[in-house]
Amino acid sequence: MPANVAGDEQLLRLQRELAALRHELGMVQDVLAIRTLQHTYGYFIDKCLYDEVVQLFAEDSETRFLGGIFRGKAGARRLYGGVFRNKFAEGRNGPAHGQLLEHLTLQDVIDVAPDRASARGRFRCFMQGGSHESARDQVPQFWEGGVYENSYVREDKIWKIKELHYNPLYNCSFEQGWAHTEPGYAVPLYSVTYPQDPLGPDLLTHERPRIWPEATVVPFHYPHPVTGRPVE
Amino acid sequence: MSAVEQIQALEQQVAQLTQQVGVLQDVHAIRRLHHAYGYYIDKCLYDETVDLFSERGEVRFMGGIFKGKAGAHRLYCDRFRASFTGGKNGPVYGFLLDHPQMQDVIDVAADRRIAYGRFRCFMQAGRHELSGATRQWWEGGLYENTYTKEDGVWKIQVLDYRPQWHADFETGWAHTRPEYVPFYSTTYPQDPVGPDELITPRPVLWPDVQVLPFHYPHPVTGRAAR
Repeated sequence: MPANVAGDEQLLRLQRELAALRHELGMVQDVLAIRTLQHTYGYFIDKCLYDEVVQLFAEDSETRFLGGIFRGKAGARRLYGGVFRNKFAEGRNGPAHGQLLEHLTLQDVIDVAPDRASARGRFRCFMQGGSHESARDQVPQFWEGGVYENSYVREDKIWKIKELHYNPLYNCSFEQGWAHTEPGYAVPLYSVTYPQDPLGPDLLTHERPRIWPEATVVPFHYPHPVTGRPVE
Repeated sequence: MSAVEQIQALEQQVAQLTQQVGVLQDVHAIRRLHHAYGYYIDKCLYDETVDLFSERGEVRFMGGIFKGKAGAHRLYCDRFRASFTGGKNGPVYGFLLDHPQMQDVIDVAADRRIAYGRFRCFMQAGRHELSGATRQWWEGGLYENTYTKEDGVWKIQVLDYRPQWHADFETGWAHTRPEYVPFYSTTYPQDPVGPDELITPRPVLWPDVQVLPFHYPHPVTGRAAR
């Protein structure tokens, strides 16, 4: 075989290998970008930066919270810029004196689709919230633990939140702890939709969330990492 | 440089990049594996937990070594599942066992067949008053784990969990009683849910303190940490 033909074949093989490598490196970069996106969501939420939170969402997106589904950025604006801003931030975009709302965000399990256009991510949140006694509006101090099962979309090379599904699993007062959470302690589930509730969700979830002392498994978006079988 | 030499140089660069990207993929796979472990343990999914281990894996817990999947099954299913959920593989009403997992330091060997990972766990656990006996505690602990890649799949080779401190919710870590959780002193089969071997010297529990050895050298000086 002439040397130049052998060289052509080697070049073709190198080009294929490089293309595959670029794709695999891109998948790793996607995982890091999504982790950064969700961690940033956590830092914004800590400090009631709700305008910035809404900008993390894709136009075609949804937020699920307490049995309500908020559609699109308009829905996210009602929840973050309306409900939460009024409750935690005295109506401002930013933290209010004496209001603690820490959202420790951790334990990502992120899976990117082979076309690198969509992804799913499971995260945990461990919260410390509530008001200092000197705050204007009083929210009793509490602990909360929950799990997110989110999806993400890449638009113009930028990863955005497509579906934010937060599932609070337990909460309790700082004084009494999770062994003594009174039934009904949690914020009630949504039962009225927008516009009847002007800051309410567009839809109600078919299956109603259950919270502590109920103990439930938030379905996993991924199969078992070793056996490859679906779990539950 | 001739065309042949240029192609050889490119082939070397592609081989190096393949190795480097592969190591990043391994780190991602191991984080996923350990984080998945945490979510299973939260919800008493013990069959799924045992399936994360290699056949030749082992668990180290409270001064005991549980060998192989049989040992892991004895600890997770025969001990924890029996006592925490009455034998149900899944969560039960009023039992909390959250294991938030964080702070990974993962190192993959050059041959990409073995890896080491240090993680932290910060637990919230207990039983609600409506479920019978009331109890609630905090726990902080560290892992120094080993992972093995078999047929392209990362599995747990050694899960070495070292609780660092416990505290009752009501009284806090300033008032933890000694040996809040008892260490193993008897092995299987004398203890039917006991470990295969004991760890010597035995680890300690708060208020005793000890540094869990680091699998990795100091990131700046490169010297062994301790």
